[in-house]
Formats: sequence, structure tokens, C-alpha cells
Amino acid sequence: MASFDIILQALQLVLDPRVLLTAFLAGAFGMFVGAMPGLTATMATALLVPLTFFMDPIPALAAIVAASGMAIFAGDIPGALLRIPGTPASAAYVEDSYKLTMKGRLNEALGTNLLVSCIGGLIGIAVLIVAAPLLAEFALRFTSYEYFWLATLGLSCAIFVASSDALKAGVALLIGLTLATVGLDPTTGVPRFTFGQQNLLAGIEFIPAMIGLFALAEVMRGVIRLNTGTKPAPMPSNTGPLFKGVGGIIRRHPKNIARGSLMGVLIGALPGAGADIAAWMAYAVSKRFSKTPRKYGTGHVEGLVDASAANNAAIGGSWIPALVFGIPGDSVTAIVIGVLYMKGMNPGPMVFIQNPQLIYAVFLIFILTTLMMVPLGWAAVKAAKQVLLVPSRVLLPIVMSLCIVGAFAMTNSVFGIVIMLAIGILGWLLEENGFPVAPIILGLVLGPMFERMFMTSMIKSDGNLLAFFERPIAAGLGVCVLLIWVFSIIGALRQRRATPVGASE
Amino acid sequence: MKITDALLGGFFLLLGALMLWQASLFPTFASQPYGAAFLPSILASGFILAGALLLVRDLRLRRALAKGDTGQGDDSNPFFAWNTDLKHGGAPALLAVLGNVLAHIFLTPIIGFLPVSIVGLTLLFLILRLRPWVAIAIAIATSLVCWWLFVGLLRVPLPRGILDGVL
Repeated sequence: MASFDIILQALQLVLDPRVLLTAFLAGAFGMFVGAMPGLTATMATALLVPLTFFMDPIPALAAIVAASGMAIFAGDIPGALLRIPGTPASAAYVEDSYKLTMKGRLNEALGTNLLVSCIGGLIGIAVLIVAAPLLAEFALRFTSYEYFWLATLGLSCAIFVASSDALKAGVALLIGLTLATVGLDPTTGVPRFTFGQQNLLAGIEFIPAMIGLFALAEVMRGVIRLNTGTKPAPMPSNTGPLFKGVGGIIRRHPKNIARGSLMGVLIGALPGAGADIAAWMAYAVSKRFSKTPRKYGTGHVEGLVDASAANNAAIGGSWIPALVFGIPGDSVTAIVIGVLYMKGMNPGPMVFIQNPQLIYAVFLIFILTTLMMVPLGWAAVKAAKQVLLVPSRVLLPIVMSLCIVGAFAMTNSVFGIVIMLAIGILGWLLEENGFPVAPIILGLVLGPMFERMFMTSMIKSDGNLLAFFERPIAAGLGVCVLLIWVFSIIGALRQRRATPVGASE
Repeated sequence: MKITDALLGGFFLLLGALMLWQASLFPTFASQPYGAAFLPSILASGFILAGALLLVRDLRLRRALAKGDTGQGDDSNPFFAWNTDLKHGGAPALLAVLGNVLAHIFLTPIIGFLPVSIVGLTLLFLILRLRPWVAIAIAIATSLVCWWLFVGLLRVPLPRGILDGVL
């Protein structure tokens, strides 16, 4: 555990009024973006990053933590009001919260969402605070072999755990890794896939690519639906106290909150899987072990408690591998890792020794912004009726402008916009055809580390693949990766034999 | 824009082959057995394998659908189809967004950020069926806020273009 001195230093870093103001503004921004259907938590982070580029590390991280946490909760608001989840992380329990609203229990649904999200978030942070330093101490002994397997584990999870179509997720991952190889080769300095373009020698700029993938592609998808869409249903009114009866619900479901939160942290910590999957799995587990599984999906509060806790707990969880190993737990932490590198704060176990005050500042920011969620969330719910009236036809072009200016700001040239456009169109086309885009960003972020560790290991062992299994931890991780691959491939083959397509052969 | 997996698989197969060929042209150093081409070649092989699997999977699905007695198998799985929203009025909006981005790439260095942004946004808002005066007002406000935020606060050198000297 950290000494008092370090915590004091961290407090000084965080309690700076500028940091607090940044966190507050970013939180309000995250709340707004998360509440707007079609705009996701990842998009909130992506649009913020060009601004954080010009900040010191602590306010920059505060902004990202605040925005992503608020956006995950705020996604619940349109779910309850309009039956449209604001972010994918809220999709699991949208039926229940909307049906509660139909029964006139809107405040109960949203109040429960808000308080349980806050509790789940705090549990996630508690695990992060305890686990990260312990893991970091352990990780100090890691060599290129362990890091190679960790990176591979992250990439494998992105293919097999976080996606329904492993083949397409695999192609998306290959695209991300290939994009990461563009530019000067790290071992020999040879230019690769630059096609004579000076601008590409330094590689594909990460942030414009991510803005294209998560914001511009979303705008493109949004605008083509606008002129065909039907008018949204009228919104039910929400007057009266928000938290009435919520205390009782929380007291009646402590096991659900604990179980949802722990599942959220674990799934969040798994590289490649984030809040969306955490919510779905927590909902499914809750239903499986409930005494009244038939009530799920009919406006039942139990599954909502599990899944609301899980998606916010996943945020803390996803930061564990990000801070300790530099391996992202989800697409938001993939962005965070990009930002940390830009700030010269290379994530990894050394940060815990060299700059522990920064790590503890991050922990404090987490606690602070999660507590801030209650008043901000209350205001957001109260203002939701007006906010949700802002039509997408006004909002999407504004998001487009922010994308363009943000991409320009990262390179101070139109080349950033070129990258954003190219990757944005690619992302849009891929998603139209059922390819998940999160593995692309994972490949782009993990690619350089993956290649460096792979090449170092290959050169050290002179091409002997058995050396990858000679150290105990490396061997353990390696076996894990191989098991994931073997079981997933066997599962896929067995499934194919079971379907009529295979039977007709 | 829906493209069938068989065509996409073929595309990734070709892409992998092209990458493999490109990587084979990377210079090698005698002292270093694992060089610049190593990982790209592995990735290229991955594309070839995954592309082939996509192609085979889709073709088998097609064959199974064709065998089905409904006869609708081929209709429900065309090789290429436009997104239905694009057919029903979505295309101009999409083109307007792409046009805006392209205008920022090619026109801002010459005539500056503000005029390109205001005109582009106004056109986009009009295509999205906003009332003209609302479209112009929001376009001007958005552009000015972007300018204030990025040029005023963050010192990003957005091109001034024809307004150089005025701003």
C-alpha cells in the first residue's frame, strides 16, 4: 500500500480547482453524449481526446474518466424514457426499465440505475485500487515473453470472447494490426506500406483513426437514417422525487449488486471485453439464479440491478490491465493508453514505482467522479425531457464538425482529416457487413507492443518457439491462449456440424 | 452497403497476397533473421486464411439456401445490396457528410476554415431538412464555437485562408 506521503501528493494533484472543473465539465459532456441515442461512451471519449491533448496528464485523465463513467450511466436514461439505449452498455436491460416506466415507475427505474451504477462503480474502483499495485509488483519480473503472451491473450479475447462472429472479429483484428505496421519498422527502420507518403513514415496517427472509427462512422450511420426515421414516441413525464423507494430496492438486492459488480470488474479486466458485455452477462447470470426468472424483461427490477452495477464496475476493471500492463480492457481504455503514451506516461508496472503519485491521483479521480455521478445524474434525469428533444439532425452535423477539427488538431495539418476519413469509411463499411470495429482499435494500440515483444523474443531465442514456454508465468499464459484457441475452434466446428448447412454436405 | 461475405473474403484473400508480395520486397539484413517483413508476412497469411474461410463459409451457406425448397434462398442473400436507408433518401445526407470532410481536406488550405465550415454545415443542415434560417444560424454558431475553442483556447492553427488579416 502507498505511504501517506504519496496519497497527500496525489490529493494535491487532484484537488487543483482546474482539475475539478475539467472533471465536472467533462462529466457533464459525457452525461449528454451518453444520453443521446446513437452516441456512445467511446465516442464521448474520442471527441474529448483532441482537447485533452493540450492538457496536463492529470486533468486529461480526469476528463476521460469522468466522461466515460457518466456516459455509461446516462445511457440508461433514454432506455427508460424512449426504449432506446443511449449506449450499447445499457441495451441488456432496456426492456425492463422501459416497462417499469410504462407502469408509472420511471423514477424508481432511473433512481435505481443511478445509485446502483454509483455503487457498482465504487466497487470496481476498490478492486482496481487493491489489485493494480499487487499485479504491478508481480509484473515487474515480466520479460518480453510474458508481455507477448499477455498481448496475445488480449487479442484472442477480442476475437473469441467479445464477439459473436469470431472469423469477422479476427479479420477486424488483422486490419488493426496491419494498420499498426504502417511506418518505420521498429527493429530495422525500414519503411513499410507507406507508398512513398512522407506523412505515413511516423505511422497511422492513432487519434484521428479512432475519431474516424468511433465518431465519423457513427455520424455516417446516423445521417442516412435521419430522412427515413419515424418520429419518436412521446416521452412520459418524470416528476416527483427520483430516489423514492430506491433505498428499499438496494436493501433487498445486496447480493445482486455484489454479484453484478464482481462480474463487471472481472469482465472489464478481461482484455477486449468491456461494459456492454459485462451488462449482458450479468443480466443473464442474474436471470439464471433468480427465483423469478419469468419476470425478467417484463419490468422487473432485479436484472436491472445486476446489470447496472456490472456495466459501471467494468470501467474500474478495464483500467487494471491498462495501467499495469499497458493492455486495454476495452475501447475506452485503448484510447486512454494512446493518451498516456502521448503524455510520456508509458503505462506499465514501472509507473507504479517511478510515479506512484500519478497512479494514486487516477484512483482519487475515479472515486471523485463516481461520487459526482449522483448529483450530475440527478440533474441529467431531470433535464432529460428537454435534452432528448435536441434532434439528431442538429446534433450529428455538430459532431461531424468536432471530428474534423479534432482530427486536424492532432496533426496540425489536413493529413489528420485524411486519416479520419479513410478509417471512418472503412469502419462504416465493415460495420455494415457485420464486422465488429473494436478489435481494429485494439490491434492498432496493441500492435506496436505485440510486434516489439514478439521480435525481441524471437531474436533472443533465435527463433526457438519453445523458449516462449520456458518461464513459468509465460508458460501459464501461453497455455491459456492456446486453450482459448483450441476450445473456440472445436466449439465452432461442433456448431457447424450441428447446423443444417453442415448436415447437407 | 451490404457486400456478401464471399466477395469480402475474396477481397481479403487478395489483400493478403498483395501484402505478402509487398513484404517480400522489404530489404533484409543478413545479420538479422527476423526483420521488417516478418510480422507483415504473418498478418498477410492471416488475411489469406481468414479470407478463404469467409469465402468458403458464404458459398456453403449459399449452396444450402439454394437447396432449400422455398427458392427464396438466393433472393435473401444477394451478392451486393444497398442499405435500404440509403435508397430511401439517406444517400444525399451521406454524400453531404463526405463532401464536408473532403471540402475540409481540399478547400480549407485555400479559402480557410470558417467559410468552408459555415457553407458546408448550412448545406448539410438543409439536406437534413432544417429550416433555412435555423440551418444558417446553427452553422455559423457551430463554426464560431469550433474556432474559438481550437484556435482561441488551444492555439491550433486552423487555416485562416481568405480571412487572413481579418481575424
